[in-house]
Amino acid sequence: MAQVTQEVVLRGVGVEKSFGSLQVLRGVDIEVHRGEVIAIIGPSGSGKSTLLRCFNGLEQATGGSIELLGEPLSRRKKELARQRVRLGMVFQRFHLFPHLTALQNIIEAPVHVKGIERREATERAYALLDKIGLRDKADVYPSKLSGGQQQRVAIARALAMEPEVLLLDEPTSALDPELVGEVLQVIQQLAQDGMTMVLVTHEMAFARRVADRVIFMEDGKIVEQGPPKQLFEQPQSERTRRFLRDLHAREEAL
Amino acid sequence: MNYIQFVQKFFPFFLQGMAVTVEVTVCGLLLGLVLGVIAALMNISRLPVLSWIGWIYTWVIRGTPLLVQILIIYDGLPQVGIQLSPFVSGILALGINSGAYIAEIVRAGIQSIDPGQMEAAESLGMRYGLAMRRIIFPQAYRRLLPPLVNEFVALLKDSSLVSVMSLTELLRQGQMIASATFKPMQTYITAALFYLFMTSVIVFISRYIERRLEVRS
Repeated sequence: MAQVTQEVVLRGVGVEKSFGSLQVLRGVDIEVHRGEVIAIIGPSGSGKSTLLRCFNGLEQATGGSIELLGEPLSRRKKELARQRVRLGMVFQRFHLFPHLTALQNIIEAPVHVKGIERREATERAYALLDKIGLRDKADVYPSKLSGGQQQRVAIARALAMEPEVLLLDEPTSALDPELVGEVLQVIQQLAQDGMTMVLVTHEMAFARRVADRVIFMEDGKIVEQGPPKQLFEQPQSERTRRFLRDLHAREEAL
Repeated sequence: MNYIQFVQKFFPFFLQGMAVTVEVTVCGLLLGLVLGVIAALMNISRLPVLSWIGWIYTWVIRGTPLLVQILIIYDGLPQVGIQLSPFVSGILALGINSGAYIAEIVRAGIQSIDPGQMEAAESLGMRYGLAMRRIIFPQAYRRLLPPLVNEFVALLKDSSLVSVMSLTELLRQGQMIASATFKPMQTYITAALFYLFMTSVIVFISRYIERRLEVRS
C-alpha cells in the first residue's frame, strides 16, 4: 500500500448541512491526508453522501468550513470551478455524457476546462482507458456499455483532470452484483498507485481491504473512526457494534 | 378561363408571395429562437429578477392574440416615432411571438435532462455556460426538434396575419389577385395549396433529420 503522508489535502471543520428544517450533517470534523484512502460507512440517511457532495461544493455547507490544500472552498463560482478541477467526483449513477463516446467523455474537461491540446489529451485518455481495461471501447457511446464499464469510464473521466483527491459516492451501489468486482478492482489499483480517495460505500469487505482508515457515520456525525481492522473487529462504540451486527445478520439472511 | 389557366397566369405572383412568406417566417423563427433561448435561460435562472422578466415575457405574449401584437408593432410603434418597414415589422412580430412559445419548448427540453449531467459537468470544473453549451444543449436539442418543427409550421401559417401590414406575402398577394380578378374562391384555394405545400415540405425534412439523428445516437 502507498505511503500516507502528513500533508492534509482536504479538511472539514464542524461541517453542517441542513435542508430546510432537516439537519443532515451535525458538525463533522475530518482530515484527509495525501495518499490516504478513507472509507465512510454507515446506515442510509447518515449523511455520508451529503458530506461528499459538500466537499466539492455540489451542496453548500450551511455551517463549518471546508478547506482544499489549506484554502477554504470558495463561494464564488469562478473560484469554486477552479478548485473543483482538483477534486475528482465519481457518482453512484455514473452520469457519463450520453452524447459523447467513452474517449470524448474523458477528454471533454481536459480540453475545454484545462485547455490541454486535443492530441495530448487523447493520448492520456488512451493511457487511462488501458488502465481501466477499456481501450477497445474508446469510440463506443455510454448506452452501449455495461454499468460496470460505464463506471470505469466515469472514474477515468475524473482521473483525466489529475485531481488531488478522488471522491467516490457509492460507486458500486447501482451495479448488478456481477459487475461490482471490475469496478472495485480499478479502485483498488488506484489505491495501490497512491491516489488519495474518500469512498462512501456499502462494500464492507472492500473497505476493509483497501482503506487506510474507516469512518462510521450516523445521524450526521462521525461516531467512530480508525484503521479497518480495529473498527471492524473491536468497535468502541455501541452504535458501531449494532450497525455491524445488523449488517452481518442481513448478509446471513440473504 | 378555367382553373388551370388561372393558376398558370398567376403562378409567378403566388410564387413571389410564397418567397416573402418563407423569408419573413424563417427570419422570424431565427429571431424567435434567439429570444426563446434567452427567455428560457432567464426562466430557469436562480436570479429572481431574470426569471421574472422571462416569466412576464412568456405570460404576456402567449396570453394575447398575435394579430393584436402585429397591430401594436405596425400601427402603434409609428405613433411613438418608431418607423419600421413592413418586412422588419413582420419579422419582429413573428419573432417576438414565437420566442415566447419557443422559450417554453426550450425550458422543458433543458429541464428534461437529468440534473446529474449538470452536476457531473460542474464536478469536472465546468462553469455554467460551458456546461450548458457542451453538455446540456447537445442533449436537449434532439428532444427539441419535434416541438420546434411544430412551432415552425404554426409560425408559417400565422405569418399570413402579417398581411395586414401591407407586406405582400402569400396571403396579401392573394388578396390583390382576388380583388383584381373577382375570383376569390380560386385565389384562396390556390394560396391554401401553397401553404399546404410549404408545411408538408417542413414536416418531410424534419422527419428525415429525426431519422438521421436516431441512427447516430
